[in-house]
Amino acid sequence: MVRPSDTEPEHTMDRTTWTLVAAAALAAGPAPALPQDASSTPDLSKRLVERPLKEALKETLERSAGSVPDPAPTPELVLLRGVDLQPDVSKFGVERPLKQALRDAQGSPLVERPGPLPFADAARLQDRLSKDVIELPLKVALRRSTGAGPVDLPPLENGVEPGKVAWHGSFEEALGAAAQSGKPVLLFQLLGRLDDEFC
Amino acid sequence: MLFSHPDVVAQLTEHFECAWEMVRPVPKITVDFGYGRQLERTLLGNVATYFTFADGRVFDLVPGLVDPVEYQRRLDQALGLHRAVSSLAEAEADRFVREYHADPVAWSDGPREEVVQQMLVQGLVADVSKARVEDPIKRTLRGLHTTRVLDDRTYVPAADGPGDHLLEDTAHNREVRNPKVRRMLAGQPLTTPAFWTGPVYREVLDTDLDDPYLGLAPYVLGGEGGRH
Repeated sequence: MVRPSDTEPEHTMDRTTWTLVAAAALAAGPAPALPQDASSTPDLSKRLVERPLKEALKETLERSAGSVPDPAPTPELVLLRGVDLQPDVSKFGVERPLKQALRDAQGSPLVERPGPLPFADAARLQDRLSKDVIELPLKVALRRSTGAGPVDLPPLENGVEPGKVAWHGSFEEALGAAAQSGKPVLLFQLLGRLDDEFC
Repeated sequence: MLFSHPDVVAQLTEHFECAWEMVRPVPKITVDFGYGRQLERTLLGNVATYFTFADGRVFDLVPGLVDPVEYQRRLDQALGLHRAVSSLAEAEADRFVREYHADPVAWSDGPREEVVQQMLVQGLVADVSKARVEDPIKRTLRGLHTTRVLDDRTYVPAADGPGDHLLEDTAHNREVRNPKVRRMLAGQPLTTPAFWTGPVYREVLDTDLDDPYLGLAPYVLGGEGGRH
């Protein structure tokens, strides 16, 4: 018994092959001119689509097997080899080029974009972000979970005076002072910092 | 600002050892108006004031933000309570504080200093029996008033300004949150602020510190309420 797969080679066109086929078709140049009576020709699709595609596929497969040398790279081939075929629908791929094209058409100047931060500012910002976003919440959570009390806070860059009260540096420090003075301790708890301008 | 009010500052400086601590960063909201104009404001800026002995045990607590007049009234109460129990043994102090917070009539006005001193001199507090201690304390504390007159320092808020909100907060904290705190303190032996922080913020100030979104997620992200 002869199975179809024994006589007919199975050609699966993966993405690379498809890219090469399309590149070959582009490199082959424009399709032949459409005859005047093309609309009435019954094998139009075969002549214009199927046949060139088959020829291109055949050439590509032969080339991949090493029997036909690679064609000289054309702009289209280079483009197809270098471009990810996944369409870019992001802001970067769509919105910005469109905006720029509109501005170009209107003769407007280029879109002004903020330049990079000076190194010192960027380093300070990164340091502040890592401390405020990562270190501090982690410290607070750990201290709270272990009942170890508050976190020693670093000074604020744009801090304000936390009122006119003479605050001790920490609850523990206030307890020590209370043991000496005999006064009660007042502990003011808050979300955020008392020396922050927003609190 | 409360801690810039001259009377509050004077009272705190003279009678208390003060410290503040951040329980977690405050959530902030930023509105970008464009052209470089941004407005940043905080959300859920809840606070709590703990009064403790030198060993760190909490004997009184003020939930939320109140106006300077109410704050001074609470400072007076805390000071009177501290004077009443600071010389007692730990068990007696614990009993006294719990009885005090369990009696709404007592803490509605606070212990007057001279009456507390009289209690101590007469040995009423030193007697540990229930009949000899608790009942006299309740009778003594009940119906007394603080000696300070606050009526001549009426707080006048700006019309339609932030002061209106402060008055509303003051009333809410005094009438709604304060009784909750009293019940909590009455039901638990004297312990530290670290113990109270979670329950006070969650059950009294309606801010669950264990929720990364502090209960705001349904308003910002949609979905159902509760911890996220």
